[in-house]
Amino acid sequence: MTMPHTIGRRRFLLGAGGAALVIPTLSSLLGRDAEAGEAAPNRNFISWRISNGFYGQHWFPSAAALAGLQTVGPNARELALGDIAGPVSPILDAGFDPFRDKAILMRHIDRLDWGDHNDASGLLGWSNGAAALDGVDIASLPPSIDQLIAQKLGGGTVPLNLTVHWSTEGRSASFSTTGSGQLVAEPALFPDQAFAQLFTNFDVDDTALARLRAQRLTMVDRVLDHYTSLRNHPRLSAADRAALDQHIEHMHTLETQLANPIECGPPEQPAAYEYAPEAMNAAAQAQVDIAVAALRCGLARVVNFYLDPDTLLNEAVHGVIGGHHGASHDSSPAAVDSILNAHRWTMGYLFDFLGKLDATVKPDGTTLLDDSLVLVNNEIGNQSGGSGGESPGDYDNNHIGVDVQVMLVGSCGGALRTGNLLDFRTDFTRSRWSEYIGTAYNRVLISCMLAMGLEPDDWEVGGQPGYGDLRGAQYDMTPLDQVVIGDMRAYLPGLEA
Amino acid sequence: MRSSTRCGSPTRRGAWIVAVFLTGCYAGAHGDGGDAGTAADDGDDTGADTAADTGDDGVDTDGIPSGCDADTPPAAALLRMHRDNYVHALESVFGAAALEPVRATIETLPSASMGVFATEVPPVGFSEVSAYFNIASQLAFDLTKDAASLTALHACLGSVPPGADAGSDACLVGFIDTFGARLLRRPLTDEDRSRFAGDFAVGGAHSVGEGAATVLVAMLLDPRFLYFVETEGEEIAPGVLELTSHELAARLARVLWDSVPDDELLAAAANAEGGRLEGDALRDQIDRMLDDERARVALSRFAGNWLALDVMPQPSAALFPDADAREAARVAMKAELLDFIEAVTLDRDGTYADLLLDRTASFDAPELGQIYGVTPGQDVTLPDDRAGLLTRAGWLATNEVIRSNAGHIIKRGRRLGEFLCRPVPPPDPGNFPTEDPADPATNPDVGIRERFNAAASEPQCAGCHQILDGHGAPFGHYGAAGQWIDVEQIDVDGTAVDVSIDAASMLELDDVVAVDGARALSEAIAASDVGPQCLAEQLTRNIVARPLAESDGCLEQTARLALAPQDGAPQSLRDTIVALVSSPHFRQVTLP
Repeated sequence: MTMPHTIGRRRFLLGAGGAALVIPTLSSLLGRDAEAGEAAPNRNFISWRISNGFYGQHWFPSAAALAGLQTVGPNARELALGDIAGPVSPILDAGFDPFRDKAILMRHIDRLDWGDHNDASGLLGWSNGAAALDGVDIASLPPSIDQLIAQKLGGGTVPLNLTVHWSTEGRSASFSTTGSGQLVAEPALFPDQAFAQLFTNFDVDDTALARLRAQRLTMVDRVLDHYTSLRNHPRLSAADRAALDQHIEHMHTLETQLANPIECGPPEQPAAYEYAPEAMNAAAQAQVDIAVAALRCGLARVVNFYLDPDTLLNEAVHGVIGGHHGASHDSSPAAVDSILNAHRWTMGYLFDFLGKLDATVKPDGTTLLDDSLVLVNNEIGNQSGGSGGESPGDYDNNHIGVDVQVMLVGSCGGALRTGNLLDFRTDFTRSRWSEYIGTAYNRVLISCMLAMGLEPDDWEVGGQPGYGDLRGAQYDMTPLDQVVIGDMRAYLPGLEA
Repeated sequence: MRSSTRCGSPTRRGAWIVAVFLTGCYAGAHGDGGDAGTAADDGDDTGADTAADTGDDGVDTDGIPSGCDADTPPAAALLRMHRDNYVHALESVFGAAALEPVRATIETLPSASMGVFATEVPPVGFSEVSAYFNIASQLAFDLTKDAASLTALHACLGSVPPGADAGSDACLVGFIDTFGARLLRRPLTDEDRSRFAGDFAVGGAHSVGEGAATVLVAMLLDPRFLYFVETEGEEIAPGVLELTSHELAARLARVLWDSVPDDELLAAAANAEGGRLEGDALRDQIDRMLDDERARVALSRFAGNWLALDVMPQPSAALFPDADAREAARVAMKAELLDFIEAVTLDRDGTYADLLLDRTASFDAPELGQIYGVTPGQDVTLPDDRAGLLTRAGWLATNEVIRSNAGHIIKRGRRLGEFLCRPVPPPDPGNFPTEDPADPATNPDVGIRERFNAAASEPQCAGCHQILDGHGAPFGHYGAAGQWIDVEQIDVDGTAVDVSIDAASMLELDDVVAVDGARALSEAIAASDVGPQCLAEQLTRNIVARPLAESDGCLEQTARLALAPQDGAPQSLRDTIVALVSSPHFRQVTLP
């Protein structure tokens, strides 16, 4: 297996705000190779990929709960998640309740591609499935958004791709394009590999670390005096003073966070990866704990989860009959229950991950989850059929990317307005699949990139607006001309704080 | 669901008509330096019209143009470094190689492209303060991490004994004086020295290297490094400050180099007679600076902002099927245009008219040769269908028009409006037509000009579109990549249909003029006051780094008089820059 880019072990001293506050000299102090400097925006991006589609009645609130949707703009309806009585849905059950105020659940988001099983659509916006990219100039495509975000964050940031999979290769949803026109998935790490890469020899010279931190803290404190002195200069205008006041306030924040470093350390070392149903729970838990530790220690800013054991989810341990994939091609009640149970399995680890991020509290009371943006997505859309799947037997097994499963968690450092279900249905209807045609999924990706501080120039090719709205051979099979694409340089309505 | 309404829905027509009426599609342009995004918002009049109002092009003996308020120089303002200033300053002091570990972090700092033309930067955010800290911390550590690094940084540092006092050790005093003067852009005071000696002691208690590091961190976080502080001059009249020679030197380096003063400029400031850097000593420094490579970098940054070249589309796949060729063409288009402006300004002593009319080009890319129809090379004379910058591929490039080889008439019209500081406000996004008028699918019998004419015929659209279309029409014979086209070729169900191009237009410059293409348009602008006036505004805005105000009038008029005097020959662009930075109002500020 080809190992991915090396994640540097350079950041060991953190302000409570996380990676932005590291003292990047320490790695050099300890004799390690210094890498690029730390990126400034104090935000993390995490993607959580789910496989094999879903049933709307398991994921979305009931029609009765959705009666309270209020129109907030063209093709945009909104409902506070906190206003839904009882569990939001069978999947978003009580385990989700702590995150209602920090989540954005989306309804009626449609992919522009045909869909079916694929690895790429979640982060690239377009399926890498058979023939989907025929006719597309792959060489000129930008990479998937996780890589664009990592590039923007700078400091040598590369995505950390974590997998739990049935195959020996594992899988990643992070894609690059080659000059020769190939679309290439980045390698993924199983738990034991991820631990080895991130935490082997994770030793810290505590004495040197404490001394250096104290020195930098002192320097910030000393420099602050000069900002204050300049701020009070009689020849400055009120506007100049206000600007310096802002600078001073941020210096104080820096000082506070340096004085209150987040404790960080390696998680428990996972066992060697074992291809057995009984080992899947521990493997998934290990990936969650590795990601949390990496984010807390600033060893990663972009993390992609690809937990898809498929046939390694079984009936005895997980309540999944015939494997996760097999169940997705079977509309029997047992198969539908298996899909629900597979979702409950992955959601259990997602909620644990979210909870651990949210338990990492900074001095200002915000948390590592607040600094983050977690994109939850599924390779395939709502398989419930034309009515939204309220009635049993109304299951389409369509494997098409309509009314897809997508949720954002975390406000991304305050960039996003959370706590709502946002329904982006249009007035167009279909005769099958989801009743209402929705808004394009690639606008979700653009919204994520905007929240992470990217600008259109960071993802556009040759100044052409858009990301992932490709016109390949699959074009005629898409609802492209009816799906609302809208402004390809702006947030989806209702998302921006 | 889809509306056929173009430009305005009935409910919004009233507001749109009012907006057009109020702006006349020109309002605010003179007052805002051509930033379409804010022109209509503030409508400030900067005094830019003052000279035109008086018609007085005289220059007083003290270097202040008449017709402006000589007693009120530009308002004092505390400017923060933009990214280019910051990186050039660090490179100048520590060398480019030292910055490699922090390049990615530097990229997160705000660039100078906020606004179309100015060197404005947004209010500081926490992420930037954090970045400043991380960069300072990393740089300081790398520069002092071992004996070899210390020696490379400052030769004697490697032999300073542990526990040395930075207030008395000659090497440490020299180290602090040297780097303090470069980073703070003036000689240190005794108070500064004492302070930095204290900073040394913070790390110096452990080792000389850590002491030197804490000094560098202090300097790199100092407000007098990150901000251009201009508070120490003499009050030469009530409320009017004359900059110190070092503040003037820093301002020169900021404007001419996007950087900080080098040792020679600092020395000139230190040795200035009577503490005033002026006369021959000043002129020598300005000439030296304009001859330096750093002036080209700064001019290129200015021109990129001026012409909004930050986003340049690739040519179409129809022109260059190979993706690498498209990207090569895109890069070459931008580079050639910037090189052209540099050459006219700094090598050929060219005038504003030369910018508009000179056909000389230098480039290597065969893709650009294909667009221009010439063999690549140095100082190539472009064909007769080209003139100056407005006919260069880098300026002409627009997004590909679907099913057509034409350039986008509206995008070019809008660009020309900005080039003339007469921006046309965009329509309300909610009123934007649902079908793209550029697409010939629904109207395949006419050219792009007529397609937009039909699409924008409603009263709520026509006002601005008459201007936009009129501005864009003269460029009709240039395809989306700037290549010459005799006819517009439209794809109608797979069949190519030729449509004739009408490049004739009537435009309002000083007066209404008729042109029959881009060359005639360039000649008309070169002969007008409108173009030079606009460039004068942009050059002034580049100095003050904010939207222009009335107190900037004399600076602006200095540039305008140089570029387009009513009597006599215009000065070269280089001499215009010299006149600006030699102007009394370049060295004076009005206190708040």
